[in-house]
Amino acid sequence: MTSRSTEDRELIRRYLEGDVSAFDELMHAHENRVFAICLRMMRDRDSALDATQDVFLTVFRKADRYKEQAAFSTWLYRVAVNTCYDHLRRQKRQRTTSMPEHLDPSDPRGGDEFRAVELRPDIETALAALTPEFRSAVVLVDLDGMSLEGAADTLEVPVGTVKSRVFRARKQLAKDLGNFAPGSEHPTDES
Amino acid sequence: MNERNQNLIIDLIGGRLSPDDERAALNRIEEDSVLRAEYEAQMSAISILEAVAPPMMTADERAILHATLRRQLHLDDSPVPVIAAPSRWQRWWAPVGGLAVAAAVIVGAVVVLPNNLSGSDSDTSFAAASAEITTTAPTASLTDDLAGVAAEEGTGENSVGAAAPEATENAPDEESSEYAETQAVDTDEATTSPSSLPYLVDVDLGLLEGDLSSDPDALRSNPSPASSKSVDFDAIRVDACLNSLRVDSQTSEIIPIALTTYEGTESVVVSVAPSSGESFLAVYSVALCRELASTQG
Repeated sequence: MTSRSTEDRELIRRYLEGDVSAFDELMHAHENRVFAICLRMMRDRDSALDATQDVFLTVFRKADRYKEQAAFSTWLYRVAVNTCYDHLRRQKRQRTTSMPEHLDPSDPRGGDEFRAVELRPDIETALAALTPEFRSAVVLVDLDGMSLEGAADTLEVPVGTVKSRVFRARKQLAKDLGNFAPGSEHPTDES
Repeated sequence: MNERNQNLIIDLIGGRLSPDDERAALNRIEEDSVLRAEYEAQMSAISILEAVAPPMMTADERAILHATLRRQLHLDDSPVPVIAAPSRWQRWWAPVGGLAVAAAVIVGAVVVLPNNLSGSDSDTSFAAASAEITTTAPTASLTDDLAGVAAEEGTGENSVGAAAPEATENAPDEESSEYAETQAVDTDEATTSPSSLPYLVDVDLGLLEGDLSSDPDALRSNPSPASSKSVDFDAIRVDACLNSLRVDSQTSEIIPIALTTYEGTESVVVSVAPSSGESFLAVYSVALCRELASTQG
């Protein structure tokens, strides 16, 4: 058990006892990492903030259930990924029902997803082309620096599945980024 | 690319091989052009992603996030605006409010009229009765909370009834106490105020679910579970909890059923109706809006 995990356990205990300062300390320790995961998953700052808010609401409301968890951060990032999946599904439904037919709802350039995302547009496009499952794997392992085991715990899948997803995601990214290297004016089919 | 080679590359990149295995893997990659291409593709993706700086929240975004969370989690004492409940709430409880007002008027007439006819202290009695029906006797915290909302709502009053019997204790004078025992409900706020919810002394979610599925009006037609026990629920917090549950469960309909004290915690019983799947009942603590029990799973 790392000192961070021990500290998190203590903070959760204090929060459940009504110590509001524990809330601030937990937020300070984890908010940027959760936001980073959400932004990479959602690809839009406002959506990422909404998702981040929902993540912490869920976690603090269900904090008493954390007792059984091995590491608070694993549970927190699991909630983060699942919340992002939910938000992405909701967005997809909304786009499908509300967008005019002549616009392709799957085209990331059709909306404002590029706005204020702190990634190079070509990387953003390549990440956007990945399925949520591949994206979450590569976000956790390559962008967040999580171990394969940590990502497997977070995503609730076997390590072998994470390896496969990360491998295929990287391969897809390399292919897409090769196709859409800076200076390429007209990207070919992204689908 | 077979799974064995895929794992070999992943493990090599992740530093998960022993020095000997690592050397052997590098040799294989050097000799096999397909493996080499795959390895280089992996490394190029990693190097690009590694160069990406982690995104940070701005100070404004952080402040908004913290403020919103504190409000939703009730960590601050700042006032929470009362938001009108959705239509199903109204469908369920508006008739209850209407019936209660009608009952109060009838009871009032039965009690007041004889007094009028006998020439007793009729003015005082009638004034007290009117006040009881249309005003509330909120707790101090509720008054404070409502102060900021009052102007917006056009009233700082709340409802009275079985679920908010503290009105009895704070009635204008002794003569009004007989009216406080009736099911008087504020005519303006009856459909939105949580205090119009019945109070259940003891909740068995399984039994309650069975009762409601066989008779959705069970709580209305059979008032026995409701108690005249004095409870002091903070209507603002009940409302805030219900609103945040609705925000959390955008694909589910949240319908408040009753107030209760579950395992010593002030709680609200809600029916959760997902867009797909079966409805279920859940108990949430009012203070932290945390799920305490559910008939689901």
